[in-house]
Amino acid sequence: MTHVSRRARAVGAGLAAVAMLAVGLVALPDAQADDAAEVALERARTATVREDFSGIVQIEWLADGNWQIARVPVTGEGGTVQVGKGNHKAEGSGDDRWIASVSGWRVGWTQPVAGDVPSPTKHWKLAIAKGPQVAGRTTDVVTATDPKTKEARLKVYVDQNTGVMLRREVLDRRGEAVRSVGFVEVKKLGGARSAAPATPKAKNAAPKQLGSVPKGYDAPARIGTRYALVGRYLRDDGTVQLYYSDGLFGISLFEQRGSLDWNGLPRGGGGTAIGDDRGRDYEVAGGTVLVWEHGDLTLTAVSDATVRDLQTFAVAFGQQSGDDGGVVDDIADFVLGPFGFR
Amino acid sequence: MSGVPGPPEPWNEDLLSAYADGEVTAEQCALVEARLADSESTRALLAEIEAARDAVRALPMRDAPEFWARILDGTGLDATDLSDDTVIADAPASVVTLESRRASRLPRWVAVAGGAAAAAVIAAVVLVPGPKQVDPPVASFTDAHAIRDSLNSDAVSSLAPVALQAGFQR
Repeated sequence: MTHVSRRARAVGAGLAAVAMLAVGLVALPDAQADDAAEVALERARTATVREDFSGIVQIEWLADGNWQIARVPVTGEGGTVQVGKGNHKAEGSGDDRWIASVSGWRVGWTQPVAGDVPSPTKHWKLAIAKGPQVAGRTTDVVTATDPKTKEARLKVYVDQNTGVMLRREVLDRRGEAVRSVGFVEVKKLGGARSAAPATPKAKNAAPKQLGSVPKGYDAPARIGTRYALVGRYLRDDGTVQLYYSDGLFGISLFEQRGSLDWNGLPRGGGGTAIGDDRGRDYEVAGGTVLVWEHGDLTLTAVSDATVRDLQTFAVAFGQQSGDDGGVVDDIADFVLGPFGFR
Repeated sequence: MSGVPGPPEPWNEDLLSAYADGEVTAEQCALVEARLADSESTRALLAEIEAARDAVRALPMRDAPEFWARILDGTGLDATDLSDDTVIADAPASVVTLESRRASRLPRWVAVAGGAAAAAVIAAVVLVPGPKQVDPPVASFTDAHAIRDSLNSDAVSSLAPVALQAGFQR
């Protein structure tokens, strides 16, 4: 009996080892693909600092079912990135950012970012494959797929030689492109380095980093199961800016105390519902914008994610932010509501 | 028999309120003052009534809320038309005898205090400022997001939109 039992146990252990090996062999290519894709993304993130380049970038976005297109010149010299021309320019070098407008240069950022951005593989399945030619360059394409829906939601095309990101394409929940930013002309990429241009003389308008948000504002550490709070900032106009990320998509959430002046919003956009709250969304060159009221806060979310993804984010924010004050607030709403004070 | 004085009026705390408002007869006035002279608790009660009355009179005059104007619109009246004698509707008036009215009503000082409390609540509603309205600078927010985003992702794809007119229509 004992002999049979030992033998059975040995056979069982052998089968288990074979099964684990088989699973490992199947999973290994996926894991390798994830790793290689993640490395390519990380390399692309910093490539414009390592490589000099110049060219034209085209921004395409779908607004009300129609494609919009705009182009801007870009250059990278000595680790400094410049986009645009004339009174509409932005510049980045290390942790510093500047923006030029008709009123001159202003500083947009001056400090290292402290918060940890989640790994892209935490919420996405990544794959890398040979991509098409982009602006005459040979590419690899990294595809990020939502593991729940199995739909591709982001494609990043990187230059095979230098690792520079040549095109970023956002896809909707059906896997169809809704926004892209990418080179349509590459004049220079790689090669000899130039000296970095002089730093612009600019008026400081950089936000201040906050350890915690002031009373009356909400900053959940996590929105839904996906977005982690990476940074909290205070702008010089008193607005609190929160930056969330899921590893591939960043969302800025701007919080202002007070009720939304609907008449002050830009024209256009579409009406939308955020749970029980109403809002308005815009699709513009700078991304998708969603404005809505929640409790005593007016909220504006900006991202290059889709409108639907922003709506999901906004609903989850409403569910996770501080409660509305309970019974006392309900009574105040009942008493003061008819007078328009709530 | 008309010259014969009736039985003395029994003491009633309502008289204190009427006394404070100067609405008593000479006979009632004498009765109240005699009571005040004898009774510490009556003097204290009068002091309370007068304090409540003064509190109501001290409330600031405010414009009526908008909904009140809408009510007046429905009646065709102007706020300045309203007085104690204004008849808003031609409904038949019910007749209430003085005796039954006096028996049913609360002491007048309670009504005055209640009125003061109600007036204080309305004053608070009118005077407490509501939350300010805000006008989100969405184009500026879009640039601010691009700048922050560029620190964690590729700088070219994040910053390129900043170089364009935001695309918002005013």
